[in-house]
Amino acid sequence: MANADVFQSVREGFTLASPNARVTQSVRESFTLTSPNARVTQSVREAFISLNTFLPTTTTSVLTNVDTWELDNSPASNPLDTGTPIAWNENLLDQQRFSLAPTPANNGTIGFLYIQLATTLTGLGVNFAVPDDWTPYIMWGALAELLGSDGSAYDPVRANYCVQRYNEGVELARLVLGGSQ
Amino acid sequence: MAGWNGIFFNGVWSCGFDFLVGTVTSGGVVDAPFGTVVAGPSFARFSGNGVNFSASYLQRSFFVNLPSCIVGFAYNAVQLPIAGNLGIIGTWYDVTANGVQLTLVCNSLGALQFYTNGGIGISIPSIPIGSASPAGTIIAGAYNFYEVLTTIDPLVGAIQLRINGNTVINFSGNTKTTTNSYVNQFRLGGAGFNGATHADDMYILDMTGSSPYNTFLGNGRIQTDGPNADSASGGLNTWTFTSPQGTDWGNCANIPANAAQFNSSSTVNARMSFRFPSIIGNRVLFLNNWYQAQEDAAGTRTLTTIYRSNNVDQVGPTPVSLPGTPTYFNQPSTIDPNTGQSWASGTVVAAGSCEIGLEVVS
Repeated sequence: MANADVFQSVREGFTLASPNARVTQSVRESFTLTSPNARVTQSVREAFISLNTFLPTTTTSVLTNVDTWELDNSPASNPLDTGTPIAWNENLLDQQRFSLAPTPANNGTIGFLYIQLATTLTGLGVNFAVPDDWTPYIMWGALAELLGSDGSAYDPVRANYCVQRYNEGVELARLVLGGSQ
Repeated sequence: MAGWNGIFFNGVWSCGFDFLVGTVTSGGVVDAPFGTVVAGPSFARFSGNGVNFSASYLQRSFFVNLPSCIVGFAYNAVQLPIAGNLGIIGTWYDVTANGVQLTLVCNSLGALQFYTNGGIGISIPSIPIGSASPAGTIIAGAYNFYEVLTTIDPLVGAIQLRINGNTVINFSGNTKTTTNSYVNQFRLGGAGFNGATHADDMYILDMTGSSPYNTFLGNGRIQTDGPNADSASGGLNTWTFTSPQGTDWGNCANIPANAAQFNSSSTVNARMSFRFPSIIGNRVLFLNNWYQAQEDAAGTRTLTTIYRSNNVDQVGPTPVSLPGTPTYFNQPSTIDPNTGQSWASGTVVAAGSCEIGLEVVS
């Protein structure tokens, strides 16, 4: 009987390769929106200013002449009130003085209608170009004008008398002296 | 027309040059100057700063075509031109056609005249239009306030020049030089004088505004102030500020602006509102907020100006997208938000009491 000679006996085993993952770098990228700051280094105001004199719109109103009794007893009147004046008063005040009611709250302008005082008489008189006997009739004419004009002295009855006396003087001058008015 | 129209808001643009110091660059106030233009107190008409020209000029593009406009400015020729020369004061320019419509010049006798060509700030014009003003209309070394109404048209064109409120030139006829019947740029200053010239207190009207912003505003000046206090209302100042100013209004009051002292915010609806000094004068025509701002990183950040009068806000209306470098922006106001009427019809106290500030819109 022959012997089986085994010269080599190897085993082959077929296996699947199992490679290692080799990592030499691993970084993270993240995409984000930037959020910038608003940065302000200066903020100034320009104002264009007119160099012309500018007058604001004005209103004018007539003031009512009242007396102190009305000021004291008017329910709407309070001496401590200020505002746009609606009335004026002069009685119980010194000459050439008047008051406003209510007391003005702002600056304003007063329009005052008045009769200026006449020139002080010097006593030297004025030469008239009429005879001395007719000078009284000039007085009657002046009185007629004063009493016939608007104002506190208006008196039409007495003014009419003065006009008659003045006309009398004119007629006499015409008859006696051959003169005219 | 209300709102923005090119550089005009409600018909108005202005610059008193007071917040500029040193060599004037573009930076959003004007286009890049031609030559060297310097801002400083020695050139001022009254106070603050004026600008100095040495054969140079400032250029302001309108970014809108205007058939008619009014330009007002104060101008001082330190010396008049020598005999035979013409000193250029202003040039009305058509960028589209790259040509001059009108040039205003002064001669050695102090007479003013318009020309239809040349100019461009440096070129001496040669074709007069209309009559010159009398000799001695201006004298050397004194500020005068110029207001010029121009209508560019070949048939019904017009030029009216007022000096200190008085009309010295009034022309009707052909005012058109280029192929277009409009101007879209104004150049202030130029060559030709026998020395430097100064300017201050400038305004421009596009003629689309409501009265009184569609006619001559009259002899006026621009008072420029930085803020002097935070808002009278609490909670209206939420920006953070750098030191050492210590206050947000302090940073905004710097003249010139200081890049190291600023207010900063990325918070939407963050707001700052400031009070300003009283205004001295008889009548305020309009207000204008000039501010320098930027965004400090990539992205988008927008701001808007808010005028606050008697606790009533006037916002924007248009938010401004900020660039990455410091740039000037402005937002005029012609209407008092408290009354709904023009500032011109109100009181100086009301205009002076108006708070002004900025808000982060987005």
